Amino acid sequence: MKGFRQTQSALHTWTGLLVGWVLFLIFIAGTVSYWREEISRWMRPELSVTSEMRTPEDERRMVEGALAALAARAPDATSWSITLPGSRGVGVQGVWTERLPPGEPRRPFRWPDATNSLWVDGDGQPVAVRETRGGDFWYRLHFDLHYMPVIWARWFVGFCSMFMLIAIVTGIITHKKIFREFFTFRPGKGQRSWLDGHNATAVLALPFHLMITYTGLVTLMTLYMPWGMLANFDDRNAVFAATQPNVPPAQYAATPAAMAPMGVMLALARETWGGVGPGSIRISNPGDASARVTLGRDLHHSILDDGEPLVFDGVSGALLGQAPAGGAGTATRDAMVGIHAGRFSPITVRWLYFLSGLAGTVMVGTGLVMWTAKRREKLADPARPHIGFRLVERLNVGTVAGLPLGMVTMLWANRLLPVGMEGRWHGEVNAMFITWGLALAYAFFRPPKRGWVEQFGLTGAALVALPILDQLSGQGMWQHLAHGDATRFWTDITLIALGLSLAAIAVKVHRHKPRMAPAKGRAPREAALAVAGE
Amino acid sequence: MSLISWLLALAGFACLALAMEDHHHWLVGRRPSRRWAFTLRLLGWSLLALSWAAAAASWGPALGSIAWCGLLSVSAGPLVLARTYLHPRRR
Amino acid sequence: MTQSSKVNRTNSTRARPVWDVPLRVLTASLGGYALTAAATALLARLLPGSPLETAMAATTLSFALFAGAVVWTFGAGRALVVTGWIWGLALLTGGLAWLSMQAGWPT
Repeated sequence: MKGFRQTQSALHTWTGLLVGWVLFLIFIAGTVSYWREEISRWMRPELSVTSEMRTPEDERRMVEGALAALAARAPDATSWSITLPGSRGVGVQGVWTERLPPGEPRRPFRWPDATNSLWVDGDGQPVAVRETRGGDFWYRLHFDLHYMPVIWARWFVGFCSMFMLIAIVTGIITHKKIFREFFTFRPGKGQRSWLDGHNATAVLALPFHLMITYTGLVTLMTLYMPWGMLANFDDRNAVFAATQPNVPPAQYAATPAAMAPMGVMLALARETWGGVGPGSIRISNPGDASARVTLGRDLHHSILDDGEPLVFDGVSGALLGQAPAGGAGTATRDAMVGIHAGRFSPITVRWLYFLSGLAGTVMVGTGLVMWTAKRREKLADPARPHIGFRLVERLNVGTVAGLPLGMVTMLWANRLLPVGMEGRWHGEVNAMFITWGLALAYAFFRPPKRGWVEQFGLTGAALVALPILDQLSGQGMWQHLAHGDATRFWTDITLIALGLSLAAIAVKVHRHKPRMAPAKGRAPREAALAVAGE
Repeated sequence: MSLISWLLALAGFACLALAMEDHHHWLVGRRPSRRWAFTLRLLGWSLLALSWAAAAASWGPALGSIAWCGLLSVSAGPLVLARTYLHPRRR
Repeated sequence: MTQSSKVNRTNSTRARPVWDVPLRVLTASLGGYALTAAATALLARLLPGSPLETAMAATTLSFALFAGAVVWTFGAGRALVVTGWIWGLALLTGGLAWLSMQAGWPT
């Protein structure tokens, strides 16, 4: 069985390296997305704690406020979408799609921005909010990447996830030893420490890693593996139709009509869903005789990631249809998606998710560094490693340390870019990617050890400075405490804690000295290691 | 209840760790006897099972199982750190 | 880990042919996907339940099948043999799924 273990080991090393950098991005973006709502709140400081939605009365007031604002701003839209804040967010967002003259080609999709969306506060009044994607950007980045068609991105992410699944399975097979060395970590021992760090983060959160990778694939399974569906249905549309309320689409009547009161529909929905309110509302052809209202359940209340949509006639307010009851197969699928996204989780479980995700990020990062740590000792001339080795080494610095730096830069851009700037959210995102690009380029001009220290140190400092900036501008932790905004307060604490941790890593790397070798013959190599940055 | 679940997991992992020669030697200064190691292992697994039960009791079986996986990580972590940075005085 | 594998590679009695690894990579990726796709389709046909439910259940299982196929391909003794197995099974399951769809049985 020795041969088997070894091929698995090679498979583990190379599948890991090939997609490691992308996996690092997927892991870190997914991990911070467990705080999606909290990040959105941080990035939209205009919406205060008074815009939380606590009772069905709040819900009705805010939704009706959003409807009034949409009617004033975009009376002749093809559709309105309203997103409710759930239990963790603030404010209600309304998005509209403009009605185009007949015959005009469809416009490309736009994310909600200053030209097609608005915000309503806790009183149901429109409020000016800076244009930002908030936490949604990292959530989308996690599987849609950026600057490329989403369908390519999703295939690419799926490809990497499959590699990840195989890396985990082969990791378990090869490193049976890790279970014997459970609870062991030997710091300051070069390659050994990296291996222990990789193993510890891998094994400690192993159930999480397996779960998150598998359920991640399941979230997009009908894209990756449509063949089971196509064996039973004519095409993808037929599959989709089987999961949706069976209501034929309404033709635009071009006849203005008064809309039925939303409060009645909200109450009926709450009753149908057993006390849970809606998370999203979509109205097609608003203000027209053909208006339809679709309510989707708030997903923060059950493991099953299933909106159980209800379709109403917008004018009469009559319930036209609801989603067919799912069986065991769909329930399993919805549960897997729900467990992946963790939308249902209360705050303690959410912290566990976040910490496990961090462990996964560290696992991928240490795995990447290990590739170089293992090979450095075998280099023919360690002072001048071959080009592939250097490339991996620098890409590691530029990604494992550079990407977090880019992400923090995005938070800074959120605070520093002018509030009324056109295309503002693109500016925030570009700031992130430009910084990451610079970090990558910079990594190639510095010895790796300096690169690690500088980039981690800068990221840490930039994180700690964010709450200070907020405090100086008069909207800081002191004010959050005074207003009773626990979410914003703890977000700032978390930013500081993360920043201090990164700074501590920087100091640790800076202080690290390679042990002097006892044998004379090894001296030049050790000196070279110091040059190479170990 | 979640705190109890975490404490039980911590205790369970501690027993499992002590059942291993290396870690037993580190704490006690000698290797465990075979019977003692078996007892520790049995105790460890039972405590882990109890920890799951506590998680299930506080969050329900479905959410509880997920939370338990996370709690396991968070309880094994301190043990790894303790094993790394603490140096108990041997008898 | 790497050191021990180095030792083993030099001690290995049979040198592996040049095409061994490329063939396994191809078999694992394309063959593995083909086998998974065919097996998923067949499972979706054969499992008891409504079309949507069986298709969902089969698809949620599929990634485990895929991972298994990849591990098997790299773990097997001889590349040619395992290639034959993977593609043979893919053809067999795919053919059965196709037959079931043509015959409309069991629906």
